Amino acid sequence: MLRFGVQDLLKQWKLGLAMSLVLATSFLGYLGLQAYQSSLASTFQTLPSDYLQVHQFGSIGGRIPTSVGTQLRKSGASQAIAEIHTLVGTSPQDAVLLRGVDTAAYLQLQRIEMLQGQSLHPGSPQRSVMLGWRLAQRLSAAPGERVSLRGRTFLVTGVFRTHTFVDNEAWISLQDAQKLLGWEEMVTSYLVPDEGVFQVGMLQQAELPQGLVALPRGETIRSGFEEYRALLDLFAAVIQFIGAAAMLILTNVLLRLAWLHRYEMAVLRAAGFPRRAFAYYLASQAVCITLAGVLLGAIGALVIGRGMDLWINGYQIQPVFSAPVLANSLMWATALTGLGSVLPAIWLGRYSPAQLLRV
Amino acid sequence: MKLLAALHYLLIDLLYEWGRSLLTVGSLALIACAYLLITSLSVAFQSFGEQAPPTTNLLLISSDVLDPVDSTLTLDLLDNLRRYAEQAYGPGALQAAVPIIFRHMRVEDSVVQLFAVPLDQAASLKELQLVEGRWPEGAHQAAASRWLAQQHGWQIGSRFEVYARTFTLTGILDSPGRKTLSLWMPYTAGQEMFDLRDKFQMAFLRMRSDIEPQEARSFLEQSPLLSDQYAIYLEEQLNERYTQVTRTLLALTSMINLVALLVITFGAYNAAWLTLAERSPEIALLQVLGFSQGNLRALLTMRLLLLSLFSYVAGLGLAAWSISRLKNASSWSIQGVQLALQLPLLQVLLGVALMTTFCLLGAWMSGREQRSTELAALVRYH
Repeated sequence: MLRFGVQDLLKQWKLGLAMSLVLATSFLGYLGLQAYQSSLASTFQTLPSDYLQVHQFGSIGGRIPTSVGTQLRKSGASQAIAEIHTLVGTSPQDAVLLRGVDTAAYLQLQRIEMLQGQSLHPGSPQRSVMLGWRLAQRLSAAPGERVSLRGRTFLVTGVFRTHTFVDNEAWISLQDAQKLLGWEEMVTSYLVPDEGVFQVGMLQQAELPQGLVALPRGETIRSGFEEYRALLDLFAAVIQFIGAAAMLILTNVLLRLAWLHRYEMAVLRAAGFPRRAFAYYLASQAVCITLAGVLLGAIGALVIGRGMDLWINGYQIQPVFSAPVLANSLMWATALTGLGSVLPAIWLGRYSPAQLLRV
Repeated sequence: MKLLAALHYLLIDLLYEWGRSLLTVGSLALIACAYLLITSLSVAFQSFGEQAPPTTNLLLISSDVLDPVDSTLTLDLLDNLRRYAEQAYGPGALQAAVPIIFRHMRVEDSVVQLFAVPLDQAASLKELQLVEGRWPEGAHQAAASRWLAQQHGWQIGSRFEVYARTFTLTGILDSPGRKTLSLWMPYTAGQEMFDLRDKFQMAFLRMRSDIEPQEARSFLEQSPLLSDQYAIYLEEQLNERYTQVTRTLLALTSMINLVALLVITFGAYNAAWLTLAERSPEIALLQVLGFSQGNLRALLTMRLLLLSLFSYVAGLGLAAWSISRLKNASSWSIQGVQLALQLPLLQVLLGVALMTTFCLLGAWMSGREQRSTELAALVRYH
């Protein structure tokens, strides 16, 4: 019956191909979306959380005076490491994420792997910059070369990798950042060890200015993407609609193809084949169609995914076609196929051979 | 009469095979719904870029800054700029120079644009219209844009938290252009809240009416006061930069729409092919009775058109329901500008045209290969 199903399908190969293309386009959409969502999830979930970030509550891109660092230490924090986060550029296309770091302390906050050149240190010359590898790739910059940040020329001292979203950033000293931005004695945030002195939430200590909040590191950036989450959810819902449509089309095709061969089926049933023979017949066709569709869809997704990096707020979102993403997508395709072939199998199984011959 | 008779026959035929018709209509309706949902998002992205009618305002901001939050200007700069302009254009050249403290703030579940300005001056420059209530005066008072107030169900007197402080809504504002989610408060309130003295983020500049804004912009940008630290834009030029954020997402929506249209094409191909295969004896009989190939093709095309129209109407209903649920469930905004999901009539009609076109394409592809089949072969098909 399996061979009979496949042979039958090959006779109507154009119909099978069209059905495979329906599944391919649905699978392409699903796989692509899963790849982007996986990239977002892994990029923004892997920041070490042993530090809390203290900044203005509810503000995106706000600034606080450096006196807050002194006040945090007086309140009991063993450290208060200042940072500046900003976005420079004239358009989203040339936006560069800039981070001003305390060159004496920043390496305590995160392990970085130097791919080229040297990291920043207190003795680094003014206007030195370290680039995350994604940014270095985008700017085609290497150690010893110069890049322009907000109209000022900086010397690249090194290229680093962290396997997190910071691989999109340019790091300069805090002093250079303050001069570049004209911020004088202001910074974006302070990082304090999560040692129980401060709790996540609004800071209530009397010696601290009003309106400061402590959040796990990376939370601010993650929450900055919340407004895009609704969009991704909509894309996901749309892809599910398309998948459900593909399932219904598959059901329609399998049902009607099998119905066209109902006399042959009746003869086979009369010769002794069991009811489940229909299920095997339909399953063999569904599997062939799905395999072809998944293959075409996967190739399409890989080809298109190469040129479809999303740039949001300076962060590069590349689709990640990892094993879990592929496995998840295959399961989705299998579920569609299974559901698409169940109804025809049940419907055809109702008929006796005599009924099939008579209809 | 013939057309009506044909329609009557086709409707009966579709009802007779209600199961298969339902499967076809159901699948195409889901695709139509997907297409319309993505279209509504594309329309929202496109209207994201809508701006107010061009003004004569200039905007002063730090150079190479993407988000105005990162800009830093001083009152001294404004005074010096005023004197510089008067040297070239005479007294009163710079009619207004309005400092603005600007922040993106999270208020409840929305990202909003917060402006702290001398409100009497800003109102004339931004064409803000107070539609309800009054301008805020005190430290913990604010006016909100109509879109923000609607989104949160605020009315005059409503209280809300901003930067760990409780504010009272005193007024609701409207302005032409994009649907911004914005809060407006007095300049002194912003200074106090963010502990700023003489620093702010942007300044609106209005030149005397006889001075052409573009010319003034070019002149002022050459001023040694600005050097390369500051930039002056026409107001709409700066707005244009922020719409670019949606272009990436527009590419994604176009891709998904293409996927939907391809699925329609191949789905229609399948439906048409199967119909022709199942009806081959009937088609042969009609040919024997004298129906021409053209008539038969017209009949089958009308059948597919009816299916696609029924599917589209069902898909439109499902999409409209989905959009109303989505609007209630989530806050749709990017960087403080509302994304308004909507389905304009033009887009709905375009969808009908595209759906029928791609359905017909699928049917044509299917019909081509069966056109040359001999009469005897049609009867023998079963």
